[in-house]
Amino acid sequence: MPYAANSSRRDELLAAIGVNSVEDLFADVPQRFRVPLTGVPNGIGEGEVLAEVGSLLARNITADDAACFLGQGFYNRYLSPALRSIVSRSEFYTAYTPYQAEVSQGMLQSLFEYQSIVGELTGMDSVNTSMYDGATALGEAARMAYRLKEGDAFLIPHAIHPDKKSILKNYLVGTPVKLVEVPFDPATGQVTAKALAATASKHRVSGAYLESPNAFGVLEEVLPQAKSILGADTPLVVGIDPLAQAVFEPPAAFGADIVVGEGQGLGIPLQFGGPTTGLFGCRKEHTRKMPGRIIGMTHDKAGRRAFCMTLMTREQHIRRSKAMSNICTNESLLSLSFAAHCALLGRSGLTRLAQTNMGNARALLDTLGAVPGLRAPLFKGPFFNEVTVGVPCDAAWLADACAHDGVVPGVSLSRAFPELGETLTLAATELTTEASLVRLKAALAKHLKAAPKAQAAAAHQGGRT
Amino acid sequence: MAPDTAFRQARYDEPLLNELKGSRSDAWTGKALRVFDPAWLPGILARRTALTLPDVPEPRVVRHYTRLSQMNFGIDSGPYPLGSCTMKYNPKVNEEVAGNPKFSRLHPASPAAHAQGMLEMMHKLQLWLAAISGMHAVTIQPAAGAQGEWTAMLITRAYHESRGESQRHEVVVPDSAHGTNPASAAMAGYDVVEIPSKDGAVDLDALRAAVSKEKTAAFMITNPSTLGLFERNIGEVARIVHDAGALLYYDGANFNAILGKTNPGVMGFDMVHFNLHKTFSTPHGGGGPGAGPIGVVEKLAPFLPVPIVGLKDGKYSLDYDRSHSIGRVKGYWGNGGMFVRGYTYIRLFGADGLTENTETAVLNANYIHHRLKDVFPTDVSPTSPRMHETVLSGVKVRDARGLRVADIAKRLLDYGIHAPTVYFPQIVEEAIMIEPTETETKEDLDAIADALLAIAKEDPELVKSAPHNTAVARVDEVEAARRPILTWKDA
Repeated sequence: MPYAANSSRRDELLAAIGVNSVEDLFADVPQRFRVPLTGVPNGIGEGEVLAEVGSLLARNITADDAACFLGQGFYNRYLSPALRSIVSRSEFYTAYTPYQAEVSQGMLQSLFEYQSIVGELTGMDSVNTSMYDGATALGEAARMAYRLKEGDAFLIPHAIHPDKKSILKNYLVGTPVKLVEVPFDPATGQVTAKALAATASKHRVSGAYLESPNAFGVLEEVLPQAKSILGADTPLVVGIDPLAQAVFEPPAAFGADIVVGEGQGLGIPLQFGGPTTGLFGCRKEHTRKMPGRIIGMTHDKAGRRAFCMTLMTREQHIRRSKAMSNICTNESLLSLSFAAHCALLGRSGLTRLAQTNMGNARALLDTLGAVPGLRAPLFKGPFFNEVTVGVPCDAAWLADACAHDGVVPGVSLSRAFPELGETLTLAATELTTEASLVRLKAALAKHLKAAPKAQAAAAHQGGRT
Repeated sequence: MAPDTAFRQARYDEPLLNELKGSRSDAWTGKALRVFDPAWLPGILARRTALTLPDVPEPRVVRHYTRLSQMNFGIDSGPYPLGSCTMKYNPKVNEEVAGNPKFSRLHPASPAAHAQGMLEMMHKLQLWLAAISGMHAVTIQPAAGAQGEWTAMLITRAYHESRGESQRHEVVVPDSAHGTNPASAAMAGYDVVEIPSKDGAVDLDALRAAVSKEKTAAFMITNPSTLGLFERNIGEVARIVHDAGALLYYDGANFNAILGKTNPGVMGFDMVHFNLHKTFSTPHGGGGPGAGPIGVVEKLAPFLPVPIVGLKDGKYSLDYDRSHSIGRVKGYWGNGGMFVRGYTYIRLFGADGLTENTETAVLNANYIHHRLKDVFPTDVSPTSPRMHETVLSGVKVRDARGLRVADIAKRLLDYGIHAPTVYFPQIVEEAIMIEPTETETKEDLDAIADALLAIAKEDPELVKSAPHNTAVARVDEVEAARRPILTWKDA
């Protein structure tokens, strides 16, 4: 067998141990429980595996093959060969969790730098090394808010992706906290100060979540007022897009207690949704209530600067059932990738990248505005790189039809927001080109002409909810 | 004192990124289709706070990370016998597959018609994991073992509630359990009851006393246990748990000890999690990513998270049709990068090779155990064969030479060998938990054993002041916790 040299040297090892056969080593496994493995084919050679897997994957149609306007936390972005080279260093990717700090300084310093960069983007004093993704980071934040303040309601915007809401609901199982939604203004797509105040006043609030951009891509201008509306003792959790933070004020400036975000958009390949990293930071006074692994700066016995895992009494391997979270294996390598990408971009590159994304999203909106029949934009609220439009037919049908022509025009949230009618939410990035916009416009125009009316098309089901 | 081992780790005074002197960033950021207009930024949200991130040319950034990598020890650097963590060699063919742009450039919201190759791999992975575990259905959504455990606890809740038995509020775990077990149960709202072990096995009387129809929701157990011993009474354990109407949970951290020899299904388990980053060789990434799929028996299948990858009329799709689903636990479909690596590994070894790997892993662990058992003797079931790992004790060396296993572990680093897990499981005094895995050669196993035996005889001062050959000397963790410096702003 490859990579298991001793499989051909069994007799040598058995003789040394003083047993007759490998079977003797399994003597404690009762015979009645012995079953051979069936249902998995026998092994094949490395060359055959590569060919087989290669031809399977070749059937995928990726962001390189089609004009892709998909977003919702995951963006089609450029990753430099230098980044791939850095993350491919096997000293990083084949290491375990850095429990032995003395031989793990590389990973530890990289993660300390990651924490620092997320601190710069969000203004948070304390940042952990990762959550699984943006959605689970929000789940952990809701639990943490409840640790900071008792209550039975966690406020979320109605304009939240339904998958995120489902995950959040599961993270609150076992607590008395229920989700309460704050409506959005149908004209702007934003939470208003009035709606936030009205909802908060009706509940014993353990915490409140606002995200900017929200599920429709709209920026929440209520953020600077949110903390004063909620009251100083109510934890404010803010969801961010890390790239947008290059041009937007850190939520700390608005009194945020916890900041979470999906990290994929900065330095992590699409990979059909994972692995990615979930950003999580908080104000200094809340640090000991924070979930996840944290790296600290200290020194070694000789007085040299050194790094190690710290404040571990919050974690499961020390506190067991009293831990702040059960998280153990996290997404460290993706956090390293996030930080290395930011380092390669630098402050000026990061800012330029955010501006390019904004500019290309304006070009996208202009394109959509020129397609007869679309309401573009659906909301008046300001946006970063993602925009929602109204569609005069079944949006899922339209998306499917365009996909056949090699144009993936965005995500439809119509099922989650039936009050809006049929909608598509589209994203632009630095990889959006004039040519891809021309293709988008042509595909939309062609299929809108042939589209059945929204109601007749409702029979077309079976997609995602 | 001249340490005389052959290992030297690189040692740089590499500055933090924010300390690097830069000039400009030449990174490619695309061609803007509209010239940026500051008016696009709503005034009250626009950034006013300065962003501290240096503009450093690419070559300097690459050197920064290359130097840092050289101050990091991975399985590619040397033996990594870290017990419970299954640090086996990560085949490079896995990385080749994961780097294929036909996977890495696939957006998760792509229509199913655009993801048929990926969905087929995910579907096959579900089927293979079900076959390997003897379970009825599998979800690959959970991101890590602990998330799999927690998902299973959510399913446990939903199952009991569906039967009108929501009074069951306790989850029982043995005192040898991984910390994630009690933490996952507590996170799902359960009260956790720990029961003692007896000679390295579940104390059946303690289990009988702990479980009841009135309050027990589930019993979580690792088999082989964290002591590296197979739970001989697992049949009786399953009977006791099921008689009380509770569910039996298999922590798959040690699956690599039984794969192909037996499976959790035949042993009577109701739920199983897998660690693709242990058993199926996906690299651990310095702490993650992983993937923690779970399998369940038929009666629990309606409660699994959605979606599951389905196959109908030759087309693969994301299937949301699940009557009692708990909903979602993770964004999109799980850690795809781990799926393609795990798929590749299973395809490469197959049923025959996976079984052989199990046997070799167990053989290697027993060989190490044999070499060390006299100097680091254990009184836990001393004559039983070990499974994939062995838990030894440093009590004898401590009493004779005044050395703690923490010091021995640090000194082992000087030999170019990663430290074993120490002080876990907590029920063994001065525990040294060694898991060599199947990918270490006899020469590597001897190097690990020889080093530990040599350290036991070394000058105690040399050992207590170790490590000497690593990037930094012993790190002051107490100071780090006393005065936390968590970002460069604090430094």
